Amino acid sequence: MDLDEIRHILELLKDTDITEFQIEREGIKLKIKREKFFAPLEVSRPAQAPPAPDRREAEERPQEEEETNLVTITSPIVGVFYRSPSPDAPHFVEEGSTVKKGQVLCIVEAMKLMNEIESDVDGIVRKILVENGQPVEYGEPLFLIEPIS
Amino acid sequence: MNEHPMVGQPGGDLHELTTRPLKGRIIGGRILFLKETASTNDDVLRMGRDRGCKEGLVVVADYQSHGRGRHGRKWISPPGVNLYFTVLLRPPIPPEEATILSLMASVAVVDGIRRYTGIHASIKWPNDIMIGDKKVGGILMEARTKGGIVEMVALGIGINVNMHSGMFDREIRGLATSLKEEAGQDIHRPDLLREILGQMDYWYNELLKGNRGLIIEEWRRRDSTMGNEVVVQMLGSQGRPAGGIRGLAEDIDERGCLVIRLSSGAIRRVSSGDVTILRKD
Repeated sequence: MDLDEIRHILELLKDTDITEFQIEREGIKLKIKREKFFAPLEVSRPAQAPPAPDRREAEERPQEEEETNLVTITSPIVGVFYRSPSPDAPHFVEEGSTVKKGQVLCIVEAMKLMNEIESDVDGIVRKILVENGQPVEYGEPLFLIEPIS
Repeated sequence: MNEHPMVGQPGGDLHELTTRPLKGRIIGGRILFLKETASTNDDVLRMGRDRGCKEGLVVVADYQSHGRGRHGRKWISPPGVNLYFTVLLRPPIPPEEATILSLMASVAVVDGIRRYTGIHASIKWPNDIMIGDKKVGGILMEARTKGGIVEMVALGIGINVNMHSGMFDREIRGLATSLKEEAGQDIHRPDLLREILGQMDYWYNELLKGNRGLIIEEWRRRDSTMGNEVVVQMLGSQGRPAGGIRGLAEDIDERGCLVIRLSSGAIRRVSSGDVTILRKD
């Protein structure tokens, strides 16, 4: 189950009177409860299940105009974009990662100055726009983040 | 009694620095000594973030268990012989101008070495400290940038002071040197560090006065890269070398980027990469 499927389910439920909905697939349990409006949904896995690489613990609210609500994180400098602190280290974030305000998203290096770029908001990384090791320009968009209020 | 025999010997005991800070200066006004740490950059980033420490704080360690260079590469940091230190800065400049700190730091280190030891050190772009074609010191800066503002910079410096050549890893032997190897005698580490910090304070004040141009000019005077055939190696998407740019190193631009003239005559500007000098003209 990926985020697109979850979004699809939310869309389907939108015009119904269903107040409680539960689905379990591939070890992921999705439970939606609502009253008049959509309430936050929970995505959970059984505790014993090993974490999968695409594991997402996203708390999501449906967005009417999703695209316009995304926050763009841009490069503050001209440099080279890195997704991890060293080639062997795991990436700071993946698409779908939940991030906190102030959390490091990437490094942009210029002249041995490693700029750790932090998230401006609490949210979910929707899109990573640059490949690891690529040069970036000043003001170039790096990430699209969907804020969680 | 002493775990590291060279501490307290002619190379000097770094602990004495804590009682002799650079009074009245921004940089070095407060010096913390650690006998052992993972990385002085990590210490300063933590102290800057969690404790809100003021700029100018210097953390110096006798030994780093996880000293590092670019992209997590190891910086060999044996106890009792070298200098490993990090300066906390909070420069009131936008992130796109912060690369000047890279140039400023290398000018300060070269001047500190020249003044204290008389050894003619120079700079390889952007901030490697060289003696001839061997590296004697490295600078790695880690900055926290938030909302278009530089929150803090950890300016980390490692200098091979009293290491002997046998202590270098096999793969960098012949590419690295120490001040002792060049001078033929032990160098007093605390006094050398005080000299470097004094130089850095001077140049940092010039920067605060807005004299960027002066720092770039002084960097050019200490540079040994320009006029040489060079290869700049980039790191690819998988962390492996992604091919290089070969050409004549001509100059740095106003941001500090390396300007390279390719054999076709085209000009390329490089903001990061490993520079190898192929041939000295």
